[in-house]
Amino acid sequence: MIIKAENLKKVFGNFVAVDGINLEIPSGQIVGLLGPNGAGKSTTISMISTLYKPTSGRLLFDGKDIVKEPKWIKPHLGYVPQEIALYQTLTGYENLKYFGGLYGLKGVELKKRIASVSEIIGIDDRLKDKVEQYSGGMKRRINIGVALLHNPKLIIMDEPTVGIDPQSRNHILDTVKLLNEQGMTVIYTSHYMEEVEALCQSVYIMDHGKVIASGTQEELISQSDSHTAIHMTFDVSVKEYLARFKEIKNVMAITQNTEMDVSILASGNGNSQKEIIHEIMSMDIGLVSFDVTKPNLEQVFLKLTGRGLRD
Amino acid sequence: MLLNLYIKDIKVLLSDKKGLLIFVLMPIVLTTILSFALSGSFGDPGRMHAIPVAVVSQYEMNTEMANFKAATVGMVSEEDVESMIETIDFETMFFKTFLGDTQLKEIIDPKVMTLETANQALENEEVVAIIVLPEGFIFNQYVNFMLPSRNPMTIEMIQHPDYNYSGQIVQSVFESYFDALNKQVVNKNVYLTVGSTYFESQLLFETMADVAFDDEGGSQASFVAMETVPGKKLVNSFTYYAIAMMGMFILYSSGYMGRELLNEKKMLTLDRGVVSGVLYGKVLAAKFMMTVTLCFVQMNALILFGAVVLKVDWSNPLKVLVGILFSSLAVSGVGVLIGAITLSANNYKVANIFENLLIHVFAFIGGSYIPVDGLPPIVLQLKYFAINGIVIDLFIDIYQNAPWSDLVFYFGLLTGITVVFTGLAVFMIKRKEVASYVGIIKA
Repeated sequence: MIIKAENLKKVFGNFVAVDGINLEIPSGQIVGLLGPNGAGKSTTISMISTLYKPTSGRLLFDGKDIVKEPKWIKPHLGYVPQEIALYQTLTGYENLKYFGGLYGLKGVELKKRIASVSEIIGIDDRLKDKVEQYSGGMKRRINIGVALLHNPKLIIMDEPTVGIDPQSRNHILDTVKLLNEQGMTVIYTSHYMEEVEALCQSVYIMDHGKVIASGTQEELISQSDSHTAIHMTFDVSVKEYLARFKEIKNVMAITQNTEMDVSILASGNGNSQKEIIHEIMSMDIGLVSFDVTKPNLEQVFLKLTGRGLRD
Repeated sequence: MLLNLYIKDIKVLLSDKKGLLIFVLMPIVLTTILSFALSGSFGDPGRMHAIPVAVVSQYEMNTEMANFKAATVGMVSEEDVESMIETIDFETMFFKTFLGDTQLKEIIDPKVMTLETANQALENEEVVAIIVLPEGFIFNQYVNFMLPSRNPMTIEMIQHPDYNYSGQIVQSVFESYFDALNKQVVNKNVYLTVGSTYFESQLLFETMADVAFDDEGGSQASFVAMETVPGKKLVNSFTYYAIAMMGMFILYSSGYMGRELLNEKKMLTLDRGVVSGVLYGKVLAAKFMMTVTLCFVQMNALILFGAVVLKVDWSNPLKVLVGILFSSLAVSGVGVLIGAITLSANNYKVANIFENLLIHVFAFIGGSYIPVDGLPPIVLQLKYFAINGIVIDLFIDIYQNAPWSDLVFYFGLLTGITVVFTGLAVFMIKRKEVASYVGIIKA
């Protein structure tokens, strides 16, 4: 595990921001950190980034205690804050040069890294412009680029696609995938569930300072008791067949919408809906069309927290 | 790493065109305007306390009278001479009627001293000028008023160079007295010239006193000669405001620093630095160095402008450079403290209050707007609470080519400010760093 947190707790005055969470982030994965506002995500990220000292608990990076010795993680950590943490009146190149210098990069090595990173983030032709002249998407990209200069093992991205155009967002998502393919571990928080679904191999869902669920997307769906919905349309009335439908394995509930239209809620693993559809087709009762709606993280999140991710 | 932080701060500073405008162009413009506008009697604030003046008598009354009586032998009878002396007592007229006048005492506060005591008082700034009544002061006045001859006489005024404005007031007061006397002398001369055609000499002398003193006052051809402390140059309005505006505008460097430190916090660039391993102390040190540089360049630009455009004669460039260095360090010390307070408070109020209120208070009590010698003594006592007050006095002394030993006092004050303020800032910033990290406060 590149990051391991044990009973991690952070208290500000009387407010418990993070309440004894456990995290295990495997090396080389993209791990999503989800939660509504005030769930404790940013505080958790800040503790991993050594900006906050945990009130109690252990926080390990590659097995080393970074609460006692924050220096273990600093050279290996790239931090992308939610805000554009750049000097707006300096050029993109000057920003990259400055932050690279903070990690001890200099001379030819620094120039090479700037060239490499600017190519990854796709901004090499605008490096001589001031950041304040960039579009929102370009600012986001260079905000990420700054965190990549020292080629960190772990990169923390706190909502890196907020407020940008779809093209820049796609570019950032591609960049994250590319970095992960190169072996970088990514901790990713976002308000966009589809991003997390598209990127993350595993997810931690936080609420009120606690981790309320974790695992792969499939595991979370399975844990959350969310179900696949099958919507079917027939060319005849199926009223008399409803009792037979209920007897099919993994059918949990049936709702008749019209005479020829029903919705079936299926339990079981990802293949249960196939068996249900196959069974009904074998009855040969005039099935015209069907539509399968699988449970997703959004539904899981809603079920677990009682709130939408963007509430 | 410190160099990297410093270079970045300088680049950010240079990219702030508006800020640079305030730092360099504004003082140049204001210096020029104020220097020209107040070149006659710069900074007339309306006097609020009497100006202390030393009056030194170098004559001996009995000798003066004996000499006058001897001079009248054969011209006027002894009886008439005695009568004249009884009618006109110049010493009483000067010391009691003139200097003792209650209205005059609202303007000047005369103190009779010996020359040695007066010089010491001038050096210690206990008086702003010395009026020297020369040998023959009484004798010449009697001659000029009572006899046909006319003895020119010089009343010497020695002025402290730092109190140019007050000196001008003192000069005006004494000139008006002696001008009034001169008028009587002219009356007398006209009377003698014209009267000699029509009257006997005896009659002329008998009635001369009445003519000469048709109103109050009376003396001979006198004038006040302006001098200053030996070896010291007078400070004109161009010199004064070149220094005074410099003293004020360097304070903006302090405010800028406070603002910049909080900007870094708000923009999260500070956090980004902390994640990479930068300590707050290094951020503060880099900002300190940046402010020293800013202040150093700013002061050099203003000194150069003063020298080239306003013709301020800086006689010793080395003293100027050392003065600039000490001033820059002290301003940066104030700057880091403002920065630390601003960062701890997590809002711009402190920097705003400093820039919009405190700088103007300092400018007033330190003498950047008007010379403080024209203000109530309480303001004078507060002068060194304002860093610009120290800087102004330091550079006036440097301008007057004061010896290094005289400058040490100011260097000490500025060093004290640097050390104390920087120390406080380091203490505060460390507490802030620990508090943010531990979570006593949410950063």
